[in-house]
Amino acid sequence: MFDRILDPTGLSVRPAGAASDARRLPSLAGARVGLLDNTKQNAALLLAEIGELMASRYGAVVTIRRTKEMFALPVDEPLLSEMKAACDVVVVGVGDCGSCSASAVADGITFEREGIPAAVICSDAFAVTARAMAEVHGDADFDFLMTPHPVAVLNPEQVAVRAGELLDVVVARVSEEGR
Amino acid sequence: MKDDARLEQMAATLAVDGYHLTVEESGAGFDVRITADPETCGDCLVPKKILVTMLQPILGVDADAIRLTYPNDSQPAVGPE
Repeated sequence: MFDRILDPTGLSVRPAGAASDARRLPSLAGARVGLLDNTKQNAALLLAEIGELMASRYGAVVTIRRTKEMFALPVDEPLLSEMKAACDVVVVGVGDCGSCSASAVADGITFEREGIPAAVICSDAFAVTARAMAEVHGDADFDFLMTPHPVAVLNPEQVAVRAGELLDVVVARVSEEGR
Repeated sequence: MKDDARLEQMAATLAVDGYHLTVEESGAGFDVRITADPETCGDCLVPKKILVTMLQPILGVDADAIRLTYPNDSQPAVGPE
């Protein structure tokens, strides 16, 4: 039994004006990291690279990797529950189109409201959609992370470079380290 | 009051995915139409309900004053119901 059902549009999860920041971890050493990719091209690879860097440089441990069934829809309750149980912080991405950037932000806000610090990565071409979705969810200042558009066309070496460029902001987003 | 700057930003964002936004004032509301380039990713457009919610503060009206048309809306139904 689930304790509640998520609206697949994401619009019912909208406490007006409610900030969504979960408590940041003081350190990533030993922290359990969850990676939630949305099936967009290079999303899984980018998150995997970031996860490896979080492990090698900060002592975190990637404990769960999951892929959303549909990039345009918010994370569903079973997957949310599974990730909540398995990780202390989550990295979500990549918002590389209109619907998936909006959905990624919705996911990030949902995780934060469940007490899991979330780093949401969107490509900069979709900042407007991502911000609009944050407003829809009552958290207009939600802090998503941006990377240059597009991500989908990058080769593996370029994805690795992009991961390195994002590492510090991801770490600062979910923990007190690097802030 | 309509925020033209934010509307242009929204149009530019939609254009990255191959969608084109036109907005026309109609009475007390707005007719908003989204058209798509050929072979545009059909799943990259947010659901109507979400886009209407996003457009409310930009157009400065309530949801019921926004008449939104998506690319597939004008296509005839195919096959038996």
